[in-house]
Amino acid sequence: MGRSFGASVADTAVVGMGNPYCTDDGVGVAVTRRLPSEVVEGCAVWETAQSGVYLAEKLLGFSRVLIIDGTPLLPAGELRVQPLEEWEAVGGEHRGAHGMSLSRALEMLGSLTSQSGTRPRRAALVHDQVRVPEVWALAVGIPPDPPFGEGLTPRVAAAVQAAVEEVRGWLNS
Amino acid sequence: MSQQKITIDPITRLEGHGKILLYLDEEGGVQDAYLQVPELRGFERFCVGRRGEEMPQITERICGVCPEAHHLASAKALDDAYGAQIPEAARLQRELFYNTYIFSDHLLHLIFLGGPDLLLDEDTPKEQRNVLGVLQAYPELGKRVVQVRAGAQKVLERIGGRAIHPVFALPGGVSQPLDEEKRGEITAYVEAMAELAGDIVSFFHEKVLPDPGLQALLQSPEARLPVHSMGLVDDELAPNFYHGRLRVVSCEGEELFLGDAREGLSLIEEHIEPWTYSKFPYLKSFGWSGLEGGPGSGIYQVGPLARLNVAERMATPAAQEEFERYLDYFGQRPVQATFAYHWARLVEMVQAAEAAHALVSDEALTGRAVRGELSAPGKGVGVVEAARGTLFHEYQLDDQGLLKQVNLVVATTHNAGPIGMSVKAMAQAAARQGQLDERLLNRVEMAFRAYDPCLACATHFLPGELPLTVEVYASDGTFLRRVGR
Repeated sequence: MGRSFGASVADTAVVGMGNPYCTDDGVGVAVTRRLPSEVVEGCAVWETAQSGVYLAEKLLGFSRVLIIDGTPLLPAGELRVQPLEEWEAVGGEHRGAHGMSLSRALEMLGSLTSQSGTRPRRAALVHDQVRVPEVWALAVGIPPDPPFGEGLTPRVAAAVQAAVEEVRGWLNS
Repeated sequence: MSQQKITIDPITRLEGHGKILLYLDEEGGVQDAYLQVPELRGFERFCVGRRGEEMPQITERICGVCPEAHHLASAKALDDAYGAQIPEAARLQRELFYNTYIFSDHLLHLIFLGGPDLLLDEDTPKEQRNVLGVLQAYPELGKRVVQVRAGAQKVLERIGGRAIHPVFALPGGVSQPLDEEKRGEITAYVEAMAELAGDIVSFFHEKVLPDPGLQALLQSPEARLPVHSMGLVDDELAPNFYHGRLRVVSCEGEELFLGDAREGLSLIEEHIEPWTYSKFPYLKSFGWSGLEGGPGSGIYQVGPLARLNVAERMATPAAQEEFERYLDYFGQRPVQATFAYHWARLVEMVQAAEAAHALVSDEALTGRAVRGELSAPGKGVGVVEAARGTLFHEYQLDDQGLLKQVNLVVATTHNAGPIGMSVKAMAQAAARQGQLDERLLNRVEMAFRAYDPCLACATHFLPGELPLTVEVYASDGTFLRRVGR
């Protein structure tokens, strides 16, 4: 897991998801490594190969989270930013071990709030110390079944700077 | 001809990876079952030529479930490859880290991931038969699990250096000493772990075990698998998750092997079937006789149930008490009930919490010497018990410390045969009762989930997933129905 800029306890996290040793699968990690420090001032910047409940638990306490991940559902190099649950609803599920998507894992944790039912759209408290964040996804199109190896294919690599700008825009929104 | 094909397909973001195929005969019975697991070939080859010391960081990226296990198996392989004796403080750090991981992972499975099987009735409606249903039934327990796991996560982060992919273990030890301030901080978290473990044991016996549905599952004849067991044990033959000797016990309780864990890979061979990329390890002294159990078969299992089958006792007092209750309940050893995996996980969770509590109090934990001398590089094997079972990392380094050969054998690969056999038996039982519907999916999924398989580890590729759909086809390929969640 990675850097934390500015604030001692960050309120916002930017999470690069994927395996940097599996070519384009690691594009989310590649984007986080290219983020200028002034862009992520006050944010936690993480890289992870985890999803589902394993990641969801670690996101507790943040108000806002942006997940950056590669997906074969989009043409290589294409970008899309939208709320996590909307992205997962069209098939872009960030599934973790045991089949629980990240959104569903957050829903699970959100069900522990005093309000019963599904995860609230905005950040909410599970109890005094635990907050379920609002999560968005920045999806980067990649070719299917990326092989093991380091580095990105040209079209995906060309999208990294644009993805950095998307992160900047999301953080300023 | 009315043969049908049922496909149970884990939905992944990568097309076509991992599914269960059930073939029905003319009478509607399950004729055969195949667990298809893809193997993304090339990971070991990708590692060849890299520097050996990169492996603890590289291998942990192939799994989003148990990076801790890969990190330490890799570090141990490098310890061995460099002939390093690690200092006491480094060993204690690693063991504290590792027992915390085992506790936390087992807790998650017991309450959340395996919770629908363990804590809810089998007849619970589909829409409630999930983690949310568990939390609605036991909201206070759910909150406490989240809190204590968050504390365990702090322990892993403080020792491991990062919250998700640890960086602390190096060939010959760990990267830095643990100071008293950190010890003080993590002690409170570890105490909470031990307290919750004890409370969950009480909860299990008061609220869970008496349930007739669970009793039926534990006693179910179709959920009994006569296979051999493998796991690490300490000098007193108690389970040890981080190190120890390897013990293999037959399905009849006879000791087949007790020795250096690094020799474990020499005990097994891998069988290949044309219908799956997954390999099927078996004990080569028995030879391959198909996916069948029994004293003459070479099929063996790993993981919590297997570890308790190879153990003569537990390493800590409360775990020992629970182990004795477990043995009294089943009345014979080795235990062969597939759903005993859940109870075995509970016993191990208690040991891990108690062990962590003892380790955090050890005076030597904060010792300053944390890195041993390294000798010339060579061949090394690292063995740990991942939450799901025995994990081997085997490396061959050249004289420059570059990797010449890499071999990983993971828990879910060891269990590929038993998982397939359990799934087949449960599906056959469901089909005999005419349950070619949601109940079939439930039964198959429960058998699969008892092992807590990790397809990410088995395939060396993310993500490791488990959602299932069942598709039923007539023999002519006509789609008949879909059952899924």
